[in-house]
Parts: sequence; C-alpha cells; structure tokens
Amino acid sequence: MNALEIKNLSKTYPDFRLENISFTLPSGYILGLVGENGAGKTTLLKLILDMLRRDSGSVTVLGRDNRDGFRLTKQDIGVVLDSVGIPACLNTRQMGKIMALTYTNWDEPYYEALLDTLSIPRRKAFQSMSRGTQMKLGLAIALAHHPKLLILDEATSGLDPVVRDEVVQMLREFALQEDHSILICSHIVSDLEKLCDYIAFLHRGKLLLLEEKDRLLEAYGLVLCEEGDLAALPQGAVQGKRVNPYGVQALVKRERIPAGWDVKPVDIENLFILMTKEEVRL
Amino acid sequence: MKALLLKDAYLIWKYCKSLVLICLIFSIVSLWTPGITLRYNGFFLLYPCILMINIPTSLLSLDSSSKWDLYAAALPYSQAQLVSAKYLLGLFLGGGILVLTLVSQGLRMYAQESFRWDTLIGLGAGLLCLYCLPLSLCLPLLYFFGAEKGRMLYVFLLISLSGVLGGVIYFMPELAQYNLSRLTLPALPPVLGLLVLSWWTSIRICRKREL
Repeated sequence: MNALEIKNLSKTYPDFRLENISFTLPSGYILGLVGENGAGKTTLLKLILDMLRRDSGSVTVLGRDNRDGFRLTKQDIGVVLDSVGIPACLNTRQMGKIMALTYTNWDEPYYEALLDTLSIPRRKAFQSMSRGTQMKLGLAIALAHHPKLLILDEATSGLDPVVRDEVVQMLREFALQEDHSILICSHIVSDLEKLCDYIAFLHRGKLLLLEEKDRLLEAYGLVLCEEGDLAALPQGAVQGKRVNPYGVQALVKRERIPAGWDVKPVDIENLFILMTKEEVRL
Repeated sequence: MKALLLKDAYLIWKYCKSLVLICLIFSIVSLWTPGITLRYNGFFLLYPCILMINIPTSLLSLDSSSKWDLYAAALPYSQAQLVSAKYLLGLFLGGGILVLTLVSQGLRMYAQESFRWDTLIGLGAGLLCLYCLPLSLCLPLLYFFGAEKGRMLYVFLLISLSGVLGGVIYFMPELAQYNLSRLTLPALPPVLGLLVLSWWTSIRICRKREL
C-alpha cells in the first residue's frame, strides 16, 4: 500500500499557485521535500492534512481519500508542525494525558520512554523549554501512538547539531518497520540527505523532480572548469552553474557528459541550489 | 472531545483562576443584597456572567496565539468537536455560576423569609438568557473574524448590551423595580434556540475556514 498518493493537486492564492503536484510515497519509505521559503511546502502539507481546501486533484493517505473519514485516518498519522502548537502553559505530563484521550492507541509507557530517551523534562511548561526541547516533545507526541505515517514540517530546524542527530536517528529507527513512512520537509538538506529514500524538489509551487536519492546522486555530478569550457558540452548536459572568480561549478547530467571529463559527486543541497537557480554568480 | 475539554480545563486553571475566584466573591456578596431586581443587585448577578463568558473567548485567543488551532486541525479531532468543546465549556461554566448564584440567592431568600420557587426559577432563566445571549453572538464572530478582531467585536458587543441594559434601568425605572422572573421565562426558549443556531453557525464557519 502507498502511504501517500497525490494526483494533480492544485491550490491557488492571489499571489501564489501550487500547481499540479503528483507523487506517491510507498509504505516503508522516507520522502524529503526540499524547497526554498515560499516554495509551497507547508501549503502542500496542509493540503495533505485537509487543513486547506484543494482547488483540484486528489489526496489519498494510507489508502483513503483525505476528505473521507479523515479523522479516523489521522489516528495513524503523527504530525510535527514548524510551530509545534502545544499551549504555552502545559507541561509534558499534561500533554500526555490530553493525547491519551485523543489517540485510541496512545502508548503511555512508550511516551515515557521517549521522554527519557530525548531528555525532555516532565514538569516544565512548554513555554520554558528551549526550541530544541519543544521540537523533541512534538516528536515524542507524534511517535507515541505508533503512527504509520509521520508528517514533519521543519521538524529539525532550530535544533543544534547534536539534537538534530538524535532526531534523525530516531526517525531512522521509526522507518525501519516496513509499514512506517515519513514525509518530511526541511530547509536543512543535509538532514534529508542522511535520512531520505526519496527526494522531491519543490520550486515556486511546482514539483521540479522526485527521485530516489541514490539514483539522483548517481545521475548528477559537478564539473569544475572555466566558463568557456562549458560550451564544449552537449546541449542539455548543464542543468545549472555557479560562477566564481576562480572558474565555474556546473551541475551536469552524467549520462550526457562525454568521456574524459572529471565529474565530481554532488550533494543534495548543491543539486537543489544549482537546479533552481539557472546561474549563481559569486 | 474529552481531550479538548481537559486541555481547556488546564488552561482555565492556569490563566483564569482569578476570574473564578471573583465570581465566587460576587456570589457571596450578593447574599447581603435586599432583593432580586436589576436595581438592587443587578451588578452582582450579571457581572459574574460576563466574566464567565470571557473564559471561552480568552481560550480561543490562547489557542490562536499558541497555534494550537493549527495543531488541533492536524490531530484526530473534527471541526464539530473543536467548536462543540468551546460551547460545552461555556455551558459548564455558565451552569456552574448559575448553580452558585441560585444557591446563594436561595439561601438569602430563606434567611430573609422571602423564599419563592417562582422567583428563583425566574432568576435562573434570566441569568441563563443573559449568559447565553452574548455567548451565542460572540463565538461565531470569533470563529469568523479570528481571535483578535473577534475579541474586539466581542468587547463592543458586551459594552453595547450593558449600555442597553443600563439604558433600560435609567429610562424605565419601573422596569428596574420589576421582579426579573416575570420577564425572563418567556425569553428563555428563543435564547436557547439562538444558542443552538450559533453553535451550528460556528461549526459551518470552521468547516469553511482555511488554516
């Protein structure tokens, strides 16, 4: 079963349009959504969670349309929003009691274990917690009812590298079960690179690509050369470039590069930057 | 629904304890007033109601400022549950203050050897009307305009209603001497109808709202 199926999803605002988005997230996989500010990541997540009305298209979550009995489907979804959304004065224990009445399969011992693992204080009010601890609490709540699908909006932003690593590790463990899936959007592309099986690029409301991460890294590479040398490459080989005083860094499709060129590996962050900006001049 | 009520109970305990305490004090003070009329103890009877109406509206503002409204939309609650929890909470609080007032006024009448069931029932109906009317009007406004704008409209609404009531007492002094019970019972069914309409309207507003 697919955890998520999105077909021709569109949403129009006066100054922004999310256009004809289609993709599938198979169960057991992690999909990372990369996009600049205002690319439409949060709009897409809200459409998936039926917090916004779509103009057209369909959204199927865990095998059911998200307008059809979605309250029941949400029992199997864990959500961490960028703003987390826990009332400021509530502490960890109180949130546990509220969530025990919210989710039918809330697992209190597991919640307690998660609080211990993530070193989240029990009696501290949410507003007194650091941003990192707030996010960790959001994640503990999202995990403690054993969801099948995790939807995370910037869940690692604002965290220090140590905490981010802990969170990434926890998400990896969650995804080990074959019916567990994660849709995560983040600015921190390095986290997505560590975590995801699939990567999607969202740019100005359009899905630029969605590909298996490993295949993506195999398909693209970086060529370092003089700007004039690029003219020797076949048309369509160069997908983007960054010009600096010492030369040019060009994102290329490996399959189109003639033999003899030194093509270096590219990471997801550079791939996204170079793909979304036709030419970056430094 | 229980989860939403529990969450609101925690917030009330944290932020609105003082309001509950003031209501208790007012109910106790009203024991020493001479009778149930707008002139003698209208302030002591009405003010706790106004304070109690303030609680659901304050909770909506708190939900908005903490972005709980956004988070709750992602949790397995329906819009109808989210709205109904606020109305139910409003009714619990209103019911609480009503019981408190009726007990204190019953005791006062008993002590003054003027106890009458019809007066007490009339008072209950009156307080219920005066509590439910602003609640019915302000909650849909809050859902429609959002917590901040809606709250300003709610304050305007309360001032207007208080002004109307004050005007009635000032310009129609004979009405102020009148026993409340004779006015209130006929008003109760339409006010309760308005409350149901308000609840239904709020659910419709929230279902159409985009977060």
